[in-house]
Amino acid sequence: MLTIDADAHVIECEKTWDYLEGSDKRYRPVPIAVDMPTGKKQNFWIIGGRLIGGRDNIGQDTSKESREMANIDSRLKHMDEIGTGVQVLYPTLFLRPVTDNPAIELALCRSYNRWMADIWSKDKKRLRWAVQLPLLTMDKALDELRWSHGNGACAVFMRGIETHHVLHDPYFFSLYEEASRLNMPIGIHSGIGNFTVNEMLGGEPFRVAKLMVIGGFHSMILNGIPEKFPKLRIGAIEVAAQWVPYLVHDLNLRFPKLAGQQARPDVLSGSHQLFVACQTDDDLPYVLQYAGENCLMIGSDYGHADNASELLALAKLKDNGEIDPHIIDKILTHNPTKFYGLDGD
Amino acid sequence: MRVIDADAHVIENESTWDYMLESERQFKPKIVGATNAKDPFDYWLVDGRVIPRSNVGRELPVGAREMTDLSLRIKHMDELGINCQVIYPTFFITPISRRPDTDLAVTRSYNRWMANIIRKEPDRFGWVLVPPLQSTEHLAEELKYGKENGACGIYLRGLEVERMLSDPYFHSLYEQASALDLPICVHSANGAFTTYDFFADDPGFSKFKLAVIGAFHALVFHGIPQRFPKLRIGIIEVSAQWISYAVHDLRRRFARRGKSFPKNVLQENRIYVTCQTDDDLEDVLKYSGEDNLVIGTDYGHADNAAEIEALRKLRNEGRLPAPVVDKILQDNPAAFYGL
Repeated sequence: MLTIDADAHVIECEKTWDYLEGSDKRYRPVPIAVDMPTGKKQNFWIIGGRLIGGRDNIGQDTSKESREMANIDSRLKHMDEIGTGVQVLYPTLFLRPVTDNPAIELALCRSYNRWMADIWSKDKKRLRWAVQLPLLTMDKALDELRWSHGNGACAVFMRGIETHHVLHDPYFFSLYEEASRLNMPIGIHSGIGNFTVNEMLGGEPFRVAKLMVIGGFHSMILNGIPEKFPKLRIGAIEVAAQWVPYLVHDLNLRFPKLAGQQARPDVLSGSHQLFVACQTDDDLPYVLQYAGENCLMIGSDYGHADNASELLALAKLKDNGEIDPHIIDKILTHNPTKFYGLDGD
Repeated sequence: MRVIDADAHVIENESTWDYMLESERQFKPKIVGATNAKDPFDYWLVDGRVIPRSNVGRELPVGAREMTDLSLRIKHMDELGINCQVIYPTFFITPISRRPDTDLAVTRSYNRWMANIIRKEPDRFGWVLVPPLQSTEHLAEELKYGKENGACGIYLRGLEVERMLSDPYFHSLYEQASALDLPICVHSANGAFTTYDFFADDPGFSKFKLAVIGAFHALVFHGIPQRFPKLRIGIIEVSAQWISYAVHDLRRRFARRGKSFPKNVLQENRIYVTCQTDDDLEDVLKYSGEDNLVIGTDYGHADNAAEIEALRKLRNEGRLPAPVVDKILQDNPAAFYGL
């Protein structure tokens, strides 16, 4: 059985930006360390004149060469040690808004994606990745999506809010259509892509990263995105799963008020399109009553040291004996295989 | 037994603003309707913005929902088996104005209107005061007015004046609330234009409910209950099904910082949460404990949380042991609101 880590990370480094081409090189992020008033030193990227953080969310339980993908063999060896067959790689820098400048966004996304494709080319089975799209310019985003599909990407990275739009906004419909055609799911990952809301909420992780994703997932379901795009798969990544019962309850109070709709207690458990990455400290027997067996996946948050990080999450799930072994197999293998479209691998 | 409806509403009308000072009349909200008459409801016009008057339980008589006929309202409460209702506003569910003078005028007038209504039946009603948060120089005076005129709580939205409720901007409010023995009541609502406008077409989940759950998390995470050890906090009209998620998340964050996490985070922080009858209450109680749940009907409204029979249903459906139901219907709201 091939276990799939549905949420692992890379830490961007200087090499990430070596793929900038031509005049885009002027947008190269500059690493900087700042002595903060607290007495601590913090690391940032300078991007488009802004200090962009997140460079200190580093899991010290991983080696630098592994988390920055400087040594692929080292990463793969570590994956062997922790019992992980495949990792789906998400970014670190882009967990927050990075720029409002479409040209900078396009340049950075292109470089990041080419770096990721290069990494994938070293082990096409075990290292898959989520593409970062320049969503400020949708036509370019679609070009990038098509390119990534042929270069190992198995998902589209999105945050709870993207650009200046909520996720059910028609602005994204062409993306959802093309993602459906390419059999690439939308991974709504813990994070936010809008400066204004992020700053208003003080960048507070629970609010801007977790609740925004739950809100985005809720709005996509309530506004019928799965029905409008029946081949699209949508996942909520790195926000745990303990909120699932709340979401299902709330949706079922709202559905009957919508024209032609009725309550759907099985909105998740009966869906083939909706997925959620859980954590080992979720009350899984309870969550499963609402999510069903075919919805949950799990990730380690490899490379990070935040609230969701649990390097040995996959092994722990197997060992803790809380749920039926056949459901564990689904969470570790079948469900992420289905979500990320890895069946053909 | 005194059954307390911990979350009922009044629908404001033109007379709500009769208490404005002469100098404030320019800020008076007006009721306006679309000229094409397509909308089944009208709007408040205030400071150049319109606020739909759509969340109205139209099955209730006007006199009961606008509290112009208290005997009608009380008769209905008797039919529902409710002894006391704590009244929340409707107008202030959304952000109203960025102008401190407008904000002060509408909050002061609303508070005086409510005080005058409630003083006619103080045993049957309590009310929450709306604080003028953009005019901190008037805050103490207004809170004192509320305390002396029967207010049993202070209304807050999940976000206020473009700030999170853990912001030091509100510390003075919390200090005064503690001194006056008035709880803060964080109601499903949003007082920040930034996020309210961003989620313009959201039906209330992201802009109202999640804003309040975020407030709960931020207040606990930033130690507001420890800083103000007499402050009671209510989380109102967002159901209770979310508690386990917030508790799981907080527990992880506390552990990462080497901080011990309370066994019962609600009880130890004097936090009360309104539940709904469709919550999985047996599961919720594992996290909330028996002493910190209350319940409301959302009387007067027609939104997602409205359940006019909620209190009777909780009693009759027999899901919970009778002593626990008694606590939710009586002991807990009495303790929270100081009734």
